[in-house]
Parts: sequence; structure tokens; C-alpha cells
Amino acid sequence: MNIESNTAWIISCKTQESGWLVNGNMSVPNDPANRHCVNILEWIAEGNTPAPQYTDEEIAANAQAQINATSAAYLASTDWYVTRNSETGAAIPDNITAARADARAAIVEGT
Amino acid sequence: MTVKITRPSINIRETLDELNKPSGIAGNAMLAAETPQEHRDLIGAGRRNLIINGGFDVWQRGTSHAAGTAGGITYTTDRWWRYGGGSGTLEKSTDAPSGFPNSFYVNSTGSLTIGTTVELPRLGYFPQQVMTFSMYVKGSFTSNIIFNFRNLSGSGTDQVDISTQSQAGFYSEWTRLSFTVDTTGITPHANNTALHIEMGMQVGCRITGAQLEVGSVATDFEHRSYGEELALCQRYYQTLDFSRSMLGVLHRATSAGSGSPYGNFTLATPMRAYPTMTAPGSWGTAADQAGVPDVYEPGLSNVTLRGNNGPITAGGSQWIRGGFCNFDAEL
Repeated sequence: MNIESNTAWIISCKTQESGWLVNGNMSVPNDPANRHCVNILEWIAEGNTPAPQYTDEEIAANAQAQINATSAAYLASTDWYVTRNSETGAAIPDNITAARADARAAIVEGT
Repeated sequence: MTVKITRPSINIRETLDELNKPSGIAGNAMLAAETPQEHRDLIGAGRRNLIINGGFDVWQRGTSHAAGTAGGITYTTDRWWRYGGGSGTLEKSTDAPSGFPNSFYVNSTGSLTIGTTVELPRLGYFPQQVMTFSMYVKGSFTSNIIFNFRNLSGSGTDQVDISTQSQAGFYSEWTRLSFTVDTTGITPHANNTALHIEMGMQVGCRITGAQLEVGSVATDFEHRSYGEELALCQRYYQTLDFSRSMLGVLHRATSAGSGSPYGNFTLATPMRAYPTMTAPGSWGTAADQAGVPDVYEPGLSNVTLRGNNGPITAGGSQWIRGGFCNFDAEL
């Protein structure tokens, strides 16, 4: 049995750091000893082009998500100033107050 | 006074022969063997079966598979692939010859091709030797059994033919087929990676006890322990189990800023090649969980997985839970 075309199973293909993400759920390494890699190289030789790992929208969303995570972490790490102020009346340093305001402003919900 | 004692000389070989021990032909052959290797060859000691999972005991991918899965060849029981088959299933069966726990059962509506591979000792090399293939079959077996050298299963590129054996017949009871396969004078192509074996199977057919061994005689099937057979299979396919909670953690390095978490996991056995990974399951996506993992960096003996549930803060961690990571380096 000789399957002349071993590429029909490839529905979608994105580049990844170490190879490709195929059909949304299969991480294929760039290793010619791997049979799926051989199929993908054949698929590329047939004139197909893997999609980029991330679309522009995904890159933007990921960047915002990283800002959200960093900002949320900063707010969490400085919450004790607020608690101390509430319990003892000790003032929150101005630079902390300003930075917390910036962090809150930087967070975009839903990303 | 001097006493001189003389004894007649003894021919030890003749004396031994006179003992007339019932050594038989095999015993004499053992006595005549001049090296430990000859002894081993005579008694068939050591590894004999070149085929892995010839008894169909290892089913890491599950014990029942859709027969007509689209998309080229797919693996079912470990080390055995299928192509075609109509509707129905390919199953692990306990209908097997005496001494065998399992068989491979075609419970489908259409015939199909199945096959396995013997990895070559090195690229483009296989000893020129007489071998014997044997296998138990039950049911309608209307097929040739084909042997060749190939680069990969399912691809005829650089193929070098070895032999084709017609073994068609209906076997109402378990029957052992056997015949020799001779690679004398046959050299694999420089790109060949495997000795490839394939056969057609009809609806209702069962097989087990597939064995390929050096020599011109089919010896008894070499039963290996399940653990040993599993370890042999894991060079080509294995699974990391994250189906329950707290089996794996991914981290985000403190110095890396916020982003995806990563984790390195050791594989049970070094694999033949960098493996393909699929990750079936219901992966957790709560805030402390990493979603569906993918491979950031593959290796032969370990792999770095990446979480995909959004970025986490530097120094943070997430559980990886809810599925399996399956690694495939089949030929």
C-alpha cells in the first residue's frame, strides 16, 4: 500500500517556535525523522504556506493581556498600603497612589 | 626394591562416546559448538522477535478504533497502523490461540490494510540474512503479506522490495502461518528507516503472535512481559497523564516578566525522533490552570510544554490538568 498523497489530513497549519501547529491540536516538530514533519514539508512543497503563529489581533490581545497581568500584579502587591491607610490612617505615598492609578487605567477588561 | 606401575593410555573421546549418553543430534551440536554465541544460537536464547507488540498486548491509544478513519494511515494497537476499513471498529479481542491473551480483531464492514515496521539498526542498513515470519490467523485472510524497506509507513518513496507471500485462505480455527523472508543480496536504500510489513485483512479476521526472527525455522512465539513490551512501544508512542488535578505545574520565570508559563517533563523512554504531540481532554481554564498545552521545545527524552490560558505574572504558576499529552514518533 502506497499512499501517494500523505498531505490530505492537513487542514490548517500555523508556524510554532519548534515546528508547526496542525489542525489546531497537533504540535509537529521540525524534525525530518518525524513522519508528520515529512508530510508538512511535502505540503509546503505543494505550494502551501503555513499561517503565522499569531494574527495581528492575537498579538495585540496578547500584549494587552500581559499589561493586564502585570498591572493586576502591581495592584495586588501594593494593596497593603490601602489596607494600612484604612486601618491606621497612615498615608499612602503619592508615587504609589499615582502608580496604582496608572495600573488601573492600563487594564482593559475582556482581553 | 623399585615397583614400576604402568597403566594403559586412555582415549578420552572414545571413552565418552562409549558412555553412549542419549545426547541426540541437538546435544551433539551443543557439544560441538565452539563459542558461547553458537550455544546461544542453538538454543535460541536472547531476543528473537524483531516485531514489537506482535501479540497485540499493548493498546496505549485505546482498545477500539474506528475502522475507516480518514486521513491516511493511523495507528491503532501499538506499532500497528491501518488504512481503509469501512465502518465498524478494530478491536482488542480475547479470542486467541492457547497461550495468547489477546488478538487483533477486524470488526468492520470493509477490508483494510494493516502493517507494522521493524526499525533498521541504522539508516539504510539491514543484515542480509534468512528470517522466518510467523503469525496466527483466524477467519478470512485473503491477502498477500508484503515485505519491503521504506522511508516511512505508507510511502513508497525509495522503496526496496524484499518479498511478497500469498497466504490467502479461510481459517476456521486458529492457524499458524510461517514462511521464510530472505534479505540476502538485498540492500536498503540509503534513506530507508524500516523493514515494512503489511497485509490485507477481511471482515471478521483475527491475528496474533506475529513474529519475525532470524533463521529458517519458526520457533515458539516469544512472549515478553507487558512492562517490557510497553517499554519497547514507548520509543514510538507514549502518554503523559494530566487527567487529574495536581499532576503537573507550569511556571513563569521571575525574570521573564508576564507571559506564558512553561514546564519541562521527562518522557518514560527516549523516543525515536522528536515526537508530534496531541493533547486530547477537557483542559482546565480557571485562573490557576494553564488551558490546552502545546509543545514549546521537543526533545527525545524530555519536552517543554507551554500553557495557553493567557499570560500570567512573572514568578507565577499554573496547574496543567484535564487531559493527556500523547507523543508520537512512529515510523
